[in-house]
Amino acid sequence: MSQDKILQLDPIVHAPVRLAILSILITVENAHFTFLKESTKTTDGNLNTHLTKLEQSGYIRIKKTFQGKKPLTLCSITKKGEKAFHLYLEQLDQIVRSQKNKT
Amino acid sequence: MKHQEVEQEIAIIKKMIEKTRKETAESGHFFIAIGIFSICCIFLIGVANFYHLIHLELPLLLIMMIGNGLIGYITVFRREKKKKVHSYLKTICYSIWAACAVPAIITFFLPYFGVIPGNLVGVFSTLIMGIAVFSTGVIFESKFIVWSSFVWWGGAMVMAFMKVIPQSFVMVAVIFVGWVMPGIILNRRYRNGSRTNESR
Repeated sequence: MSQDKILQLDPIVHAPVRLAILSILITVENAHFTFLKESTKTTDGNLNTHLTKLEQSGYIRIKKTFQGKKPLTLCSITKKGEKAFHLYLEQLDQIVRSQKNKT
Repeated sequence: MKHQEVEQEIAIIKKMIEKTRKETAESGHFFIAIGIFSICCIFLIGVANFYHLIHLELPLLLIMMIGNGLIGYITVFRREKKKKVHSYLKTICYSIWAACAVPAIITFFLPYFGVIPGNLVGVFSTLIMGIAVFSTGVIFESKFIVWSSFVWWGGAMVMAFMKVIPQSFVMVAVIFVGWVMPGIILNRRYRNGSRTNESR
């Protein structure tokens, strides 16, 4: 694997929890904080940190609202996030291909 | 980046997409409940027409509309509100159902204003429901549901050459094959999905 391709990988998407979050959000309109927590098997604090990082990068949108009296955090992917995720997939594909060619 | 690491990343993506797909799968309860209720109402309308109890037709139609509205509210709107994930596919699908249900309902009332003859109600509403079923089949990637839309359109063709009373009984058969059966298939698929999810 060439060193260039490692450097090209988006560090925001590269973290396993953030990759899992984006993989969920890419297929849905929006997802609750609790669903993301259950799916990624992380703690509230850890998930919050990753969500904030993704939001700061403009990859996801976080909407805080209420369902009755319960607070509700809804997350959805942005256009920028979709582009970054697809680019990341393309890069993974390139890595797999280049490794296959080597062998 | 090693080959193993790439495989791990791809595994994470696949796992998450699969989990989300199962969470957003359609349970089919909407189809089964609305289908059975409509079959009962239309069968009763047919029986009422057969015994010339025409005054029962409109109340039965109203019961069917209101009942289906309530079933839709319980099986779709309330359940979706409680769900933790919302998919575009379901939103599109429910919008198509609503868009097709409204003209189908309007069609039921047109003969009372003398706009169309009574024997065309079943034909028009069946044609419209065929569109909803076809779109649902395409959205949920089910060939059986796509094909069952042809049952609706075929039923409409048959009904076009019939009088009102036998139309009701054809419609009962069409709803069973073209609405309840797809619901059962969706439900089976949904239950199989949940079972594999639980075993993981």
